[in-house]
Amino acid sequence: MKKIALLFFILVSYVYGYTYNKLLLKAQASIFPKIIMLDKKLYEKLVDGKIVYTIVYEKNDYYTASEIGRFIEANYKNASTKYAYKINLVEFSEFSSETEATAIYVLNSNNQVQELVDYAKKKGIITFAYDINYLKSGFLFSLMLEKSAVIYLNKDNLNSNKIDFVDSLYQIVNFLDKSSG
Amino acid sequence: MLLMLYLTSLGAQSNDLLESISSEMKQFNEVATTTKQNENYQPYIISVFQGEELEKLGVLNLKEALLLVPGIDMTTDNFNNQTPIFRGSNSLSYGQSKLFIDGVSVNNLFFDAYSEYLSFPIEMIKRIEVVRGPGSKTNGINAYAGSINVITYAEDFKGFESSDKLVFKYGSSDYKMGGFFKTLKTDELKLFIDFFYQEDDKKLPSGPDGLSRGVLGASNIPLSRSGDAPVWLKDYSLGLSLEYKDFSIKARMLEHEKGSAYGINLALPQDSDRVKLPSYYLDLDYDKKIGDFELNIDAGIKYDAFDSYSKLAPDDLNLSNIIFYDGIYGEHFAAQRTLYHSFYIKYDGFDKHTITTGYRLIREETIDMISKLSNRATGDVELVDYSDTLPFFDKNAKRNIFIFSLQDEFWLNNNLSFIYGFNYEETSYKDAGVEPRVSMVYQLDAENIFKAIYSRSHRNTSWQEMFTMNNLARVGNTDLQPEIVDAFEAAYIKKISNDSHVKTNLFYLLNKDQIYNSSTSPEYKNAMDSDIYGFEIEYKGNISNLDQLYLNYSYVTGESYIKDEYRSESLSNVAHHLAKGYYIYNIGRKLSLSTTVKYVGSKSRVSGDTREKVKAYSTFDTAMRYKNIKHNFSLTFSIKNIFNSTVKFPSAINTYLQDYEQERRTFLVTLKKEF
Amino acid sequence: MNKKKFSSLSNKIVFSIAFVSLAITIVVFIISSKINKEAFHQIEIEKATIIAQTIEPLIAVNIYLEMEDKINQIILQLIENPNILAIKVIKNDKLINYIESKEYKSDIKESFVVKRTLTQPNSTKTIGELVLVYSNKGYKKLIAKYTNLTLMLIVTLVVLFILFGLYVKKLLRPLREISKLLKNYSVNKNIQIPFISQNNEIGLISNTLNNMQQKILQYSKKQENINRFLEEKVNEKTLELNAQLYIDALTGLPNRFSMFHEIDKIKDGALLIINIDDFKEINDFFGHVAGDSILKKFSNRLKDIFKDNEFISLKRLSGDEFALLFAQKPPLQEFINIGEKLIEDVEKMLFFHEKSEVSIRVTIGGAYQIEGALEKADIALKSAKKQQKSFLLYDEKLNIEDEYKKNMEWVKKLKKAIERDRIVPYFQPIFDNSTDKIASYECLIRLIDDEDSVISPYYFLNIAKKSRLYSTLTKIMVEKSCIYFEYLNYAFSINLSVEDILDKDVVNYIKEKIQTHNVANRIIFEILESEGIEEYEEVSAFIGEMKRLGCRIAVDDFGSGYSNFEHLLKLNVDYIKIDGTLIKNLDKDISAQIIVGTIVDFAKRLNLLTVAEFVHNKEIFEKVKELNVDRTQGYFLSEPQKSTINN
Repeated sequence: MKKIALLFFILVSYVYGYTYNKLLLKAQASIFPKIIMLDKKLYEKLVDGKIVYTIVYEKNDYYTASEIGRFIEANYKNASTKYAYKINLVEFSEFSSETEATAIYVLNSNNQVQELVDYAKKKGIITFAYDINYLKSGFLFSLMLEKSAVIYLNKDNLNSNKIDFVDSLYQIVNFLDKSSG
Repeated sequence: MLLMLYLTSLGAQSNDLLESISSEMKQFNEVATTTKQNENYQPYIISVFQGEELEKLGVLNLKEALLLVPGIDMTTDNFNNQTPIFRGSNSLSYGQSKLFIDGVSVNNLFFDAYSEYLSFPIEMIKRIEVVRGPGSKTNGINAYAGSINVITYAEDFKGFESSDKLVFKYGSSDYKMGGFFKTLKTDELKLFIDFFYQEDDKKLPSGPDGLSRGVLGASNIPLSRSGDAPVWLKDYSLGLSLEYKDFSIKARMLEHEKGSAYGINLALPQDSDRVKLPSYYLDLDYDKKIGDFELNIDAGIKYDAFDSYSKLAPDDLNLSNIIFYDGIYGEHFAAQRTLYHSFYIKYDGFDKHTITTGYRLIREETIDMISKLSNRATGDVELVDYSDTLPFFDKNAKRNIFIFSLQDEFWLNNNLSFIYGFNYEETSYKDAGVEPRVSMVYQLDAENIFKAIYSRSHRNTSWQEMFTMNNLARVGNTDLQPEIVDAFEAAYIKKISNDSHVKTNLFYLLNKDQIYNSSTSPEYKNAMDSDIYGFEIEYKGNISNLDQLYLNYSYVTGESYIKDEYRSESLSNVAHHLAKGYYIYNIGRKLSLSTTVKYVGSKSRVSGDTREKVKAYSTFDTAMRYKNIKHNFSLTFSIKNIFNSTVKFPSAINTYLQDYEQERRTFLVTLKKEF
Repeated sequence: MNKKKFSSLSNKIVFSIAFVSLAITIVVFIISSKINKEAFHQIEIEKATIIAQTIEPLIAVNIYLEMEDKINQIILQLIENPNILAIKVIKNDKLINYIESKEYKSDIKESFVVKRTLTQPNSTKTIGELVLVYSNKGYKKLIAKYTNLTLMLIVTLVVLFILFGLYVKKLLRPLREISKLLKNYSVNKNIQIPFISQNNEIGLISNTLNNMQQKILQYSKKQENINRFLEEKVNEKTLELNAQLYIDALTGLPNRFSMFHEIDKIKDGALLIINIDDFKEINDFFGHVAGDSILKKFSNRLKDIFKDNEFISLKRLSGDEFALLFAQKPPLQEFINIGEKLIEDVEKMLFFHEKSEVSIRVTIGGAYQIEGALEKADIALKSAKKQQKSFLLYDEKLNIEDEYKKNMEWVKKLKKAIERDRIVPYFQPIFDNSTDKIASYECLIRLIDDEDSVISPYYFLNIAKKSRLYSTLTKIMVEKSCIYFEYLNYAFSINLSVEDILDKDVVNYIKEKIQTHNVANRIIFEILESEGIEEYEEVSAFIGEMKRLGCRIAVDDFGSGYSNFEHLLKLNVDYIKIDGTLIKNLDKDISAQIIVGTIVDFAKRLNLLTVAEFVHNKEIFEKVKELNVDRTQGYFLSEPQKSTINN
C-alpha cells in the first residue's frame, strides 16, 4: 500500500493541455492494467511475451501521457505478475495498424478514433478511454467517479471471440449498450 | 461443494486482482467524496472551485472567488462589513450563510458575519465548496441560505500531497501580500503551518455621508461631507494544523484591521480610523473507526471581537445644544468567546443504511466590553469611559445552545439514495425546535442525475440583533424568533463527458420571521416573511482540447410580506439576474490566458426609498499565467474590470445618499513558488 | 355399602406414566415430523435455490453478452449434479437452452421446480428466466430414515415401560401386605408388622407403625382418666351455677329469675309486690352500705313473718322491690288482709344504722290471679303510688283509658274555668317567727268549680302542664296577685315553674305586670329547688334580671331533691323554703331535725331567710322556732284564704 501511495506522488505536478481530473487519471491508471490480466485469452494478445499498454494522446497531452506511463511502469516494476508490462506512448496522429498493443488507453482527442477502434476490434485489443463518451465510439472500458467509483463496459464492443474475461469481472462492471444510449 | 464446482473457472490470481480492484475503487471513492469530486451525486446543491483553477483566473481572495458562484452576490454596509447574498436572501442581516475553514465554523459572534475572512488570499485555499440552500447541515450547524467550506492545503491524502508554497503579490492601492504554507510530516505526526500578511491603502469615493439625511439631527445637515472612505486593509493570519493518529488540532489566529469605511454613525471618518475584527480559534478533534462505528468527538474555543476607534462625528457638531467643537470620537470594544463541543457517531452496520447521530453544545458569551466617547455632557473631545453608564452593548450577553441531530442515508440501489433526518435545537432564548430534512438522489444512468431536497433550517439571532444598547440606529431585542426557512429544491445534472456537465436547479424558499430594523424603527423585529424562488444553471466544459469554459446564470425573484404594515413588496436590494463565466485557454504547457465576466442585474429599492434602482453592471477581468516547470514557479498578471465600469453596492435608506462604490479597474501580479 | 374394588396404585402410576410418555412421544413425533418434513423440504428447495442463485449471474452475463456456448458449458456441468433433473434457460421468452438428465424419467414424479428471473448485470432489466427441475429423492430418503427411527423409539419405549411396571409392582408389594394387617387394627390390639428388618422406606414405615401402636395405647389410657375427672367437675359446676342463677346474692332470697321459673308451675296462685317507699333517699342520706344493710334486715324480717306459710314464697325482684308469691290462692279477703297487715307491720319496724333510727314504709301492689301476675301486680303498685295509697289490688279498672278520660275532663274543666275567670289566687300568710307578725303572703292557685268548690292545684296542675294551659295559669296568677297587692303593703310570693322562666312571653308578661302595678319591691318568686338543674344558666339569668328590678327570690321545697348548696349560692336567692316533707314529721323525726338544722345553719351563714311550710301543729311550730327557722307557714297558723287577713 505504501508503495502505491509513493507512486501516486509522481503524478502530482500539474500540467497544461487538457485539464484532466487528476484523481480520475490516477484511478484509471491503477485499475485498467489490472483488468487486462483478467482476460482468459490474454496470452493471445501478448507482444513478445509482454503486456503492451499503449497510451494514445494528443500532442498537448504528451506530458500527461508520459506521467501516466511512468506511473504504471513504477507500479509494475516490482510486481510479481505473470507477464511483464511495457508502456508504449503513441500520439493520435502516429497511430497505425503497425502499432503494437495488448491494450490501448486513449486520452481526449479532437480527432476521429474510428480507425483505432476498428483496428483494436479486429485484433482483439482491449480498449480503455479516459472519457466515458468514447465508449459510444467503440471503446470497451472507462471508469467514472460517481457516488462510488464505477467501471463502465460497453457490451456492444465486446468481441467475445478474442476477449474472454473471468465471469466475476462482469459482476462488478456497469454495462452500457445501444439501448442505454 | 456445489459452489466450488462453478467457481473453478476463477483462478486464485484473478481473485486477488478483483479484490485489489475493488479496494482501490473504494479508496478512490473516499478521496473523491472528501474532495467533493463527486459533488454531482451529493444530496445538495453544491459548486466546487479548485484553488489552482481560481489562481489561473487571477482571483485575489475568497470574496472574489465567491462572486463566481451561481446565485451569489455581495453587499456591504457602513462598516464595510461585506457579506455574500445567497439567492436573494435577507441582504441586511448577516449570518444567513456560514463560513467554515477546514470544517471549523468561523462566523463571528458579534455580527454572525465573516467579512474578516473574505480577504483570505486565494493561494492559501485548496478548494472552495459552496452549498446553496440550507441543504448542508455540517455537524449540527444550521446554514440558512448557504454554507461555504474553505479547505486549506492542510487537507492531505496519501498519494495526493500538496507541495509547499511561497507567494508574493502586488497590486493596485499599493496592495502587498506575502505568505507561505508548509507541511512537516513523520509517519504518525503531521504538522501544517500557513501564514500570510497583507495590506493596502484602498480608498473609495463616497458621500455625501449620512449627516445629509439628518442621521445626527437636522441642525447638523450642513456638516455633511463627501470624500474618500478609508477601506484600507492590514491583516495577517497564522494557521496551524496538527494530526497525530486519530487526533487533530486546528488553530488559527487572524488579526484583521481595516479602515472605518463609512463610519459607525454614518459620518465619514478619518483616514486613520480603524475597526479591528480579530478571530482566533482552537479546535480539537478525535476521529475513530471501530468496526461499523465511526466516532467523532470535537471540542473547541473561538474568540472574536469588535474593536473600533474612530471619529464618529465631525467638528462643530451640535447635539442638544452641546457643541462638539472638535467632533466626537469613540472607542467601542466587545470581545466574545464561544465554547463548543460535539459528539457524533456514524453507524453503517445495517445493509444499505448509514446512520449518523449526535449532539453539539455551544456556549456563547461576551467576555469584555468598553464603551468610550467624547464627553457628552461638555462637548469636550477627550474620551470618557461610558462602559458602565452608557454601554453600547450588553456586557453580560450569554447564550447556550444544544443541538441534537439524527440522519439516515439509505441506498435503495445503485441508482437511488435517500437522506432523511432532523435537527433539534434548544437555546437560552427562542428555539427553532425540530427541523426535518429529506433528500433524494437518482442517477438515471451515467449521464443523467436528478436530486430533490426538502429541508428546514434557521438562523439564530445574532449578538448585534439581541444585545445592542444605547444606540439610536440599532436597538437589540432578546425576544426575537430565529429566522426560519423551508427550502424546496430540485436539480438536474447532465454529464456531457467526464469533465463537462450542465447543472440546473430550481429553488423555492419560504422565509419566515426575517429580522429587520430601520432608521424609523430601530428595534430589531421579526418584521418580514419572504417567499423566494428562482433557478440556477451552470455549464462547465471545453470547446477544444486546450481550453476550459465555465458559465452560470441565476434568476431569483420573490415577494416579501411586511407583517406590521400588512403589505407585500417585491424583493428589494436583490439582483434578479446574475451571470458569471470564465474562459481559460492553454497555450502550450507553460502559458495560459483567461478572462472572467460577471454581470449583476439591477436592484430595486425598498419601498419608501425614492432613489433610482441600483444600476446593473458587468465587469471583465483578464489574466495571464506563466508557469515555469523546471523551477516550479508561476507568475500571474491580471487586470480586473478592464472597462472601468462602476460597481456599486446599495446603501441603506436614509444613510449615505449615494450607494457604496467599489473599486474600478485594478491590476495584480502574483509570484508563486512551489517546493 | 358396597366394598370398593381394589385398584393398585402402582399400576396406576406406571400406566399413567406410560400413557403420558407415549402420548408425548406420539405428539412430538407428529409435530416434529410435520416440522421436519417441512424443513427437509425447505432444505432441498434451498439447495436448489442456492445452485440457481450461484449460476444465475453467470448465465445472465452470458445471455447479455450473447455467449451461448458459455451457457451450454455451465449447463452441462450443472446437469452432472444427480439431483438436477432438467435445466431450462429462457431469453426474452425464447427457450435457448434445455437439457434433461438420465434420471429425468424415473424421478420426474418426485421433483419440484425453481425459477429465477435473469436480469441484466447491474440493472433491474429482465432479460430471461432460469428454470431448474430438482429431484425430491433426497427428501424422500430423509423422511424414510426419520420414520424408521421414530418407530424404533416407540417400540423401545413400550418394552421399557412394561419392565418398569413390573418392577414397581414388586417394590410396592410389602405395602399391600401391611395394609392387609392393619385392616384389623384396634386400640387395644397389638399387631406385629413384618418387614421391620428391611433397610428401605418399607422398613421405615413398618417401624413407625409399630411405634405408633405403642403411643396410641398409652394415650388412650391417659385420655380415659382425664374424661372421668372432667365429668365430675362439670357436675359440680352445674349445681353451683344453678344456685347462682336463682338466688339473690345480697338477701339470699330467690330472685326475679327464680320467680319466673316458679310462676310457670303455679296454676292457681296470687302475687304481691312490695316496694319500699323512697328507698333512694335512704341510700342518699346514709349511703349504699346502709341501704344494703337495711334491705338485708328487711328481707330477714319478711322471711320471719312468712316462714310458717308453706304456700307463700318470698322473692327479691330488684333493689327495693320484693314479692310474695302465693302457690295457692288464699281467699280474697285473706289475701287483702295479708297485704294490709304487712303494711302495718312494716310501719312498726325500726332499723338502726349507726345509732340512727330509720323507719320505712312500703307500698304494695297485688294480683289475685296468676296469669300475667307480675305485670298486673306491677300496674297495681304504680297506681297505688300515684294515688298515694299504700295498698292496691289489680283490677281491670286500673287501666290507662280511665285515666285518660279523667284527664280530658280536667282539661275541659280547666278551660272552662279560665274562660269564666274562675282561676283565683288564695293567700296564705307567712309569719315572722321573731315577731309572730305576718311577713308576707304566698299566692296559691285555686280553681272554683261549677259547684263553687275550691279545687286544689294537685288535681289540675299536671294536666295544665300537659295541655299547655300552664303559662295561662301563671299569667292569671301573676296579674291577679299583682292587682291584689298593688295597694296593699305586704310582700307576696308567686310560684314559678322552670317552664315559666324559660317562656320569654311569660317572663315579659311578668316584667310588664310588676312594673304596671308597681310591686317589684314586694314580689317574691318561689322557684322549685328540685327543678331547673338542667337549665341552670337560664334560671340564673332570670333571677339576675328580676333582682335588678328589685324583686326577691325564694327557693321552694328546699331539701326535697338533690340539694346543691353550691348552686344555691350562685343563684343569689333571698329565701329558702324548707321542703314540707322534712317539716311535717319534724317533731318526731330526728334525722329531719338534723337536716333542717343544717339547712338553717347554712342559710344563716349565707344571710338567707328560711321558711318552714306545712307546719300543721303546735309541736312542729315549736320545733321550727327552736331550730331558728326565720318564718313559718302552715295550717297551724293559717290556711290559705280567699283574701288577706286584713280584708
